[in-house]
Amino acid sequence: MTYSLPMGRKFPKITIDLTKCTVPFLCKKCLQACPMAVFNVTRVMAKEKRLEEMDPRIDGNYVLRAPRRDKCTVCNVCLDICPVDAIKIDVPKQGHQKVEYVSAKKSQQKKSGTVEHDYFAELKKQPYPLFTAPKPYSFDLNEDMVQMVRKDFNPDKVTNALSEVIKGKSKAEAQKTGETFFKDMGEKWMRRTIQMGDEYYDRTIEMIMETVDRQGKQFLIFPHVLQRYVEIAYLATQDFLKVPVTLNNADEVAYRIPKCALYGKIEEKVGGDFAKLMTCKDYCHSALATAQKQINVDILIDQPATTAKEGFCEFSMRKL
Amino acid sequence: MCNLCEQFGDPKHGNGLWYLNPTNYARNMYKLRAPGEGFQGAEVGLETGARRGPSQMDLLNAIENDDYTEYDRIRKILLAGGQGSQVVPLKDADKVLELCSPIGLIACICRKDLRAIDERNELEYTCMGMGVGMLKWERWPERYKGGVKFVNIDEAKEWNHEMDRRGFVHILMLFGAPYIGGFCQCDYPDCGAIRSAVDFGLGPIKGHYVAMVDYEKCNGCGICAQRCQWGALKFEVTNEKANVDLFKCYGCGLCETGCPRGAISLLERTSVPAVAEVWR
Repeated sequence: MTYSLPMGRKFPKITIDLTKCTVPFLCKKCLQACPMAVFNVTRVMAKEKRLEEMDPRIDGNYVLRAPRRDKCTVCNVCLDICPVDAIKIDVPKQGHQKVEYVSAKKSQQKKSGTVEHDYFAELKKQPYPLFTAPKPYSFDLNEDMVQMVRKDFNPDKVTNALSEVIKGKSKAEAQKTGETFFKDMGEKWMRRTIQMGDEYYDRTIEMIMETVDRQGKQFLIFPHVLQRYVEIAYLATQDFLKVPVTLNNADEVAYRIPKCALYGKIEEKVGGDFAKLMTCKDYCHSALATAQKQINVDILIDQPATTAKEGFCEFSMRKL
Repeated sequence: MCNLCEQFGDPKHGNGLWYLNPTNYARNMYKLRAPGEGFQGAEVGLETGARRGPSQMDLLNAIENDDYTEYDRIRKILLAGGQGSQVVPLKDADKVLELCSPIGLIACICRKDLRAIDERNELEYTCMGMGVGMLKWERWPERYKGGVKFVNIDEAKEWNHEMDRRGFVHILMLFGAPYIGGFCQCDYPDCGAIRSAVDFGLGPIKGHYVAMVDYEKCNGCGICAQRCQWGALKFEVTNEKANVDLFKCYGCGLCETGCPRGAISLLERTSVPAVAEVWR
């Protein structure tokens, strides 16, 4: 259904005196009173202040607007409730005709002298309940920590160690040695990741652990604690800047390694034939098994795709 | 098929419905900075979301000035901007909640912005966010955030059913396509999405269903008419039954879940030829 409003229709014109309505964020009386939710309070979007938090108690940081004035019925409830008389509504009859509206309630109040002229000053004195200065939290991984894991487990170093142990061995022997090597190495890789990951907390994992420990909500351990270890491990050893996660829900985590840096190095230094044997998959499997032991949740680790066959590796961990 | 299913659907999951494709809920928890580059957008951690381009206020001005060219230009921009959300009925909402983690209940930003309703208590939260972005809620602007309560799938379903009972429409939102990050619970007039839809034909696209009334079972009690937020369902006086305007129906299923006699059912939109491709 195509929708169109009657062109040329005039809507009530709502003018807000910003010299009177200075701290609308703290007041918001008109927002609550308006039957058609015509008003909203918005932050002043000055370009240079775009990334700053703005204290709603300071004059002019927030402004009151009437974005939905098409729905204004000129019932004048807002005029009655406004403590500083900042709102004016012009009726759309024959253009914008000015109509003086003096609220019965207001004029009574004025006579009896009960209008609070220092209304906003009173509001500003109260501490704003939600507003706190932005905390210097970091939600990102500690870069130094990632570099420290990378130092010991970068593909170059691992491949060099591999070529040392399989040097001069026959194909079958080399495969066997490679598998043992990767199993052992994978465990070390994940142990180091877990050690560093637990040492260098960021706010994201803190949020998870607070929910798990304080509120007893174990359901966040799988997938998110596991997912964090996996992400650190791969970010520290692969070339990409984010792990391509293909699934993360309460039952299953899956991710893809599109162009494995380790596989590339093995191809380059040891040879394409050896790489095709996919001995390196034990590296990832053993690492995932180590992470699983750490979080102590029963999961089934599967590898539906390998770099040798499909051109990318895919791993999935399903909760049992 | 709606444009979201065309882009993000997978025939292997949920008949190709984009919101039943589990990949759309998957996201990495971390990313590294490229050398010499900072983070951008929401990742900076402070206020972002500065709106650019025309708003609905400009649309109103164009109508008042009788400027159809300007009206059409702004409407097209706003239409393109609102492509990322769809109405989802309760039966599909249950399936959605099994595909994402974590699930967090939050204070509704629209209600705070348009109705000055501060939901500061975990029991008052009327909005739901999903995905790993919820773990970083503290970086949201101070004027928005009001805490997060993490819930498991069963708690989330129970909460969603309660919201449905109260009469809220469930609208699923994309946050950086194809990543689904929000499950809004909306009503008219304090929800930005429904307002845009009902008043301007903008906002979320319609759901994959339409409501049909079984006249045999309907006794004309009118409960469904109270629950419809779209102005699509009314009580027809002539035959004393509920009457649905399928062109206006968004397929939210509130009438279906509210009917005490089970007289309303949700049909696949594609099974009704006239509205099969009506998404706005």
